[in-house]
Amino acid sequence: MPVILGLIGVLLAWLGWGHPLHPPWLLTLIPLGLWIAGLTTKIRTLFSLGFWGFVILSAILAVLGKTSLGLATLGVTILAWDGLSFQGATLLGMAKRYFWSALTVGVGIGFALAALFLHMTVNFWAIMGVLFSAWFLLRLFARGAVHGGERSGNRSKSAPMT
Amino acid sequence: MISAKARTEFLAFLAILFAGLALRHPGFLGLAVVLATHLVFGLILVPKISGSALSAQRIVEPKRLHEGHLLQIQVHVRNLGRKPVELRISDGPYPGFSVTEGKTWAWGVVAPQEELSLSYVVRPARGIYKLSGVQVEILDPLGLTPRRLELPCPGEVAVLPRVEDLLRVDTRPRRTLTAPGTARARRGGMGLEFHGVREYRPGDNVRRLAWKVFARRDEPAVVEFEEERAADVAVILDVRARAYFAAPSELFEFSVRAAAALAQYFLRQGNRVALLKYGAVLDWIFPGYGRRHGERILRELAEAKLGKSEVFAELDHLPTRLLPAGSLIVLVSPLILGDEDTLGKLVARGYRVFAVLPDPVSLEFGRVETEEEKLVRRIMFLERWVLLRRLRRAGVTAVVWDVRRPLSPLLRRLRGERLCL
Repeated sequence: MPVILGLIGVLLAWLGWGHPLHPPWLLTLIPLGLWIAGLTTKIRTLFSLGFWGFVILSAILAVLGKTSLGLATLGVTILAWDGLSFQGATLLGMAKRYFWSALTVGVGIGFALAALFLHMTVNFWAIMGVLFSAWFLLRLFARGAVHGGERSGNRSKSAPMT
Repeated sequence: MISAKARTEFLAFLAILFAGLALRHPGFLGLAVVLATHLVFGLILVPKISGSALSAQRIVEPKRLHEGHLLQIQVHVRNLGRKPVELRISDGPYPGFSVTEGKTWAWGVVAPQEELSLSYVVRPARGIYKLSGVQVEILDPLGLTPRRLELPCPGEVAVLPRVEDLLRVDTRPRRTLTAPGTARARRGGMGLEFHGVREYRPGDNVRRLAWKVFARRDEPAVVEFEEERAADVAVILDVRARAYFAAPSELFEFSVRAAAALAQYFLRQGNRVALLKYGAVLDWIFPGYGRRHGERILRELAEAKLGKSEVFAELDHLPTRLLPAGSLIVLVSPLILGDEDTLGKLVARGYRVFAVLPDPVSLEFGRVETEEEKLVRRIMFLERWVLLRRLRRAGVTAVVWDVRRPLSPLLRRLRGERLCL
């Protein structure tokens, strides 16, 4: 499933490019190749590299003025990226996860299109970016502190393995 | 806990946001919104479940086994909460466990009061294993911030060394105890082996009259058998890494098995057996009898490891005060040149020393060899030959054990021999 979604991402990128027979197109296959290699070799770093490849691809589409296709590529990429982290989950868990993933991507694209339509200023984006980053990091630190406490409480007192 | 996925996504968000701000490109900022929304949802959707809402149980069967046998482990994690939760549970990995069947992890959605189980079969290596808790990962729908817990589930598995059943080890300690056993006491009494003939004394059993001697000497004589009693036996396992230079781990395993087999044999024969591990440190089990003592020795041997110590590099520091006077000392070690002096001193002090030498040459060069390997084998063989000659001169009974073969037939053939090559 993640590979199929990745392939859709590549196809979207090709569509956005506008010159299907142009040699640089083949470069768009690199992120997908990295994911396939990651699935084969079980090296998780390849998944991250592939994700970065797709993000760069979306950014290139945005630079070329194909923002909608760039958003679509990124949306499909996130779906596939989530799918990669679901490897090994049960079918029930998988369906639930894909539902939430698709909902998140849909809402995200909706917000992005709305924001683009409203033509917000750069300052607005900068403030929103800083606020979001601060909230995200604070939330993560708070969670880390809470879990750290719980983990030490539940940790087994048994001696180290011999 | 922040997953690598969340970190990557957040970095991608920052990169796109800064690129968008620098280039003043709204398209980039739109992409950043999609990533930010995914991250926000990822944090909001985290299930609110505490570690106390989960309980773990591990069933290990059997808890005591000998190496080479299989061990089955089942882990059950129960959801005591009120909401379903998606879990990924894993057990181990424990060094020394090689999984032969099943998986050490399981992943699933666990409904309230239901449980997620995993089952696997391992072939453990020798050792005493302290099993730690079960690792549980509470997963969020987007996999951004999984929570890792360790549910307490302590346990212990004792994987004892493989014990070969020895049929007979013909040894005679210098001194015996008063308790009955199978060691020949060098004196007449109750036993099976012929000891001698002496003059008849009132009260002697007439069935033991030596009629031929009576006829020849014209005075009554009785046959005496050699009394069999328990003896003190000290099994010494050499754990000096330098003694096992040829094939350290493999040869050492054979040494541990030989020590276990000998200790069990002497205990079975009713002797009082002590164990000493000589190497990195001195581990000593005081002399004792019986099954429980045998189990204690096996557990000690299960934990035996090779070690390096400058102090115990030579055998000079053998704690002779711990060894009961006149006892039989059974040393299991490949030995190195120079050890024979210490063993000779032990013989001079009145101990009977019996050494089992697992042969590194047989282990290392059992296969077809190159010319170079043949030369090395020849040199090693000559070195051992010199060592054995010196041991014989020192009065030590020594057997070289080809570890590819069982030990029992070798020890049965020991009778009357002082040196086996």
